Amino acid sequence: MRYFRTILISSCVLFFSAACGFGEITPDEALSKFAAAGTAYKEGKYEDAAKLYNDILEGGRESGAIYYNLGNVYYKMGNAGKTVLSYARAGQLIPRDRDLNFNDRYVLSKIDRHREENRGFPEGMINRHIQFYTRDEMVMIMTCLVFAMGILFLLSLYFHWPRSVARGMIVFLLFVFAAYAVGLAVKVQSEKGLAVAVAVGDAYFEPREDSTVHFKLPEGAKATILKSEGSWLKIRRWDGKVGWALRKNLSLVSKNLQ
Amino acid sequence: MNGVMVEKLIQLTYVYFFGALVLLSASAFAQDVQIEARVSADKTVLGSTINFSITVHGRQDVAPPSLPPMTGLDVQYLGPATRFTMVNGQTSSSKTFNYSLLPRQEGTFQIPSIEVNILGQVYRTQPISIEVTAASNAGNTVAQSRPASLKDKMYIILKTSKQDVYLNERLPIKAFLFWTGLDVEKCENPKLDDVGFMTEDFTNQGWSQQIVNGVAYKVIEFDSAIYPMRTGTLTLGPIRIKCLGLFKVAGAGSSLGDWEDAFFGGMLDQRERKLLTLESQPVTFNVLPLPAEGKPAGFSGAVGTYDFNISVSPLEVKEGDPITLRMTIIGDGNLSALTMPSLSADDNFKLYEPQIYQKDNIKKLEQVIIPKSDQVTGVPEIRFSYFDPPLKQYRTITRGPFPIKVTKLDKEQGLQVVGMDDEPKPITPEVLGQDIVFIKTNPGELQIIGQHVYKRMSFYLIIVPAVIMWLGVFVYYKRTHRIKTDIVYARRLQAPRQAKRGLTRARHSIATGEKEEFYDAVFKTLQQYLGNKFHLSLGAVTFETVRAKLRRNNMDTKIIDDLKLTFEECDMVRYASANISQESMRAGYQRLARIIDHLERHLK
Repeated sequence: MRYFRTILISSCVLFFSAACGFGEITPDEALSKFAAAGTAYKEGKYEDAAKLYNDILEGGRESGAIYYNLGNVYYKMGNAGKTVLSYARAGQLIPRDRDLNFNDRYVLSKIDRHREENRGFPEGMINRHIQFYTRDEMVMIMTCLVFAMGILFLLSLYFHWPRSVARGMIVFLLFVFAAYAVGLAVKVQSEKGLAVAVAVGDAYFEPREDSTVHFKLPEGAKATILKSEGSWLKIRRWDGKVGWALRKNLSLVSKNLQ
Repeated sequence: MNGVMVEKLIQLTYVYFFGALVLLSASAFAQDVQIEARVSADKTVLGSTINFSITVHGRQDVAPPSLPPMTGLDVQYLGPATRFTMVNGQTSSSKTFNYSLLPRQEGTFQIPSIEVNILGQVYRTQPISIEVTAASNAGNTVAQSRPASLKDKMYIILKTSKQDVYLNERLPIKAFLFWTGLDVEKCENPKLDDVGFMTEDFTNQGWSQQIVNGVAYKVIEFDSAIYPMRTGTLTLGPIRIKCLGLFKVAGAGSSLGDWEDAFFGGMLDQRERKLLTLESQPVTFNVLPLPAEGKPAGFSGAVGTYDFNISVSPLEVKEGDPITLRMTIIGDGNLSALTMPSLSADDNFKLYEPQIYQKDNIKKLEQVIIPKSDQVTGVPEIRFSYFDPPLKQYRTITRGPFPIKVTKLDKEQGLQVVGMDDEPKPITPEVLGQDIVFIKTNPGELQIIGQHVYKRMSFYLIIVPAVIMWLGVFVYYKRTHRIKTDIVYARRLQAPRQAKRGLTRARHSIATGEKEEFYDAVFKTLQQYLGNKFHLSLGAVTFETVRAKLRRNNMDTKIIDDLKLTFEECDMVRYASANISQESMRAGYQRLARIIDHLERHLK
């Protein structure tokens, strides 16, 4: 009984801690800085705005709107690489936001990167589908599908549904679940290594600056990181070309993996 | 004179001429190198500078010597000056390096011996001592208890109006520049590092005079305000200000001497401009977080005392006509960072991008809205919430709703194009610019970086109980379904419950002493229990049938013997009316309970 009480209290503390989150910056402070950054942006003080948005991120809190606004700030400052990077990060949190999608397409078209997004069938179609949801949304959908299958199963037992009907529905849901599971795995894998070039550079055949240049890596170009060796990264471009680029020219889209 | 002699004469002339040149050069080269240091005055007052020079005689190709740091003196290199003279065939050359020394405090200071390296040889100047005294101040009746410094003559202090302030609350600050005993030609507005807060620009409030410790100072006041952006103990400052001061050069007075002083009062004194940077002491203050209790929904971070008003016009429109919504917020808070309240987007109004203006302590918003149908009856209420620091509580000002009347357009009215000619005019295409969409004013849901839903404890605290509940429901269904469909299982399941009821009845019979009742209960309990356990009808439950089954289940022989004894006892009482004592009844009860308990534990 004594241990049960201890376990119960510890579980409650853990639950509320997890629910509240121990970020360094409080939501009020983040709100305050967000408003100040918006004011700075309206006044044309883009560097101040960038600093305030980055303060919130360094304080451990993020939101799609913060990355979106940061992308706008970098665009105004003329930094194409960081603009694309910020929009990509925003896209992981608010993928269906119209303003974000418009700005992203606009910026990519301006730096001639839009062709990289228009991949053919079926790769492009699959990519568009998995980018439609955030990771959390996919997990919640899969969880709801599992619960739906469980509830359907119990209902079919209690109300004596015909087996074929029950089976059909559960198999259908299982198929949808499997599709989402695969999609989530693909999404996690693709986001894990996704990087954006924040500075102009080259990709070489070998991890040496004196080796032959394989292809150019302009600002804002997206690539997938395959391997890491010291200050070099092995990357794959959108068209499948593989080369070695300097780590300092690339930045990972998933912040928590840096 | 023949040609040979003339030629020889010319040769001799060349020899003598070049020889003289060589001798002259040699005399120059043979000049001794000497070095000396000199000051324009060895006594001066605080606020005046001294000229210090190092002269190298005999050489001009010398680099400026670097002076070591001197405590209490600011050193500024002014530049070199060279000189070449020839007197009575004697030449001399020298190079002088000039420095300006500004004493920072009263006292006696030593200019150390300066080393000058010339062609590998080190020459040293003699050290010089200078005395700095405080300038005499009229009306200064307070004796200086410590040596005066330039900091006593000119300094800046920073003050805040209070020590504790809320997050984003306006905190007025003042900077005071004090100076005495010297002239300040001009000074910039103070500068403050704004780490952790927003600042307003400093405004010059004019100058005044103040007496501090018996000394008359001129004072300039600068006013500003800050808005702290984070909680905790923050440090404000130090504040920095650059001033152009005018300093007298000691010992460099007019050549007219006392006569000049008498008539011109020192106006012809040589003065030097020096840029001074003053720094104040930092000030700490506490920034309190906004209370969580009582925070209204829709609170967007406004802190201060505000007034909020809305006007809507016109109040009667036709369908499709615009209405202008005007909001005004007047207050003493951070209006630049304040988010204006907005009409929530709904199906009743089409909303256009608002125009926002701000001047001083007033912020205005104008927005065009169009009712979508004639069913719209009013503009809904709009709320503005803020935290009032003097009252230490949240306040919400609600304005509206504003009733409006929307008249339906008649079908005949429709849209009329006015001024349309018969001949169609060519439409020139609009040339539009392209740009990115504006930033978002709402930060949305702020989450901890990297904390996905599946990494949160709360996710599992919901999932796990749900799974357990599902398992419980499933197991319950299975059990009840089996009970309904599997009679054998159902009978075996109810066997112990029925046995328990039988034992209770038997125990009751022992208490009342009714032996027929007791053995009847014992027999029926045993019959039902064994019938349920082995799926036998009640009539088929005899010792022989049960014994066979018990043996097949490898039951303990003692239990079988107990069972036999119990059956025999029951038969004896039921059919032979045997006389059984209370003790036997109790023993019989214990035996029965033992049998049932053993069979429950060992019979699968």
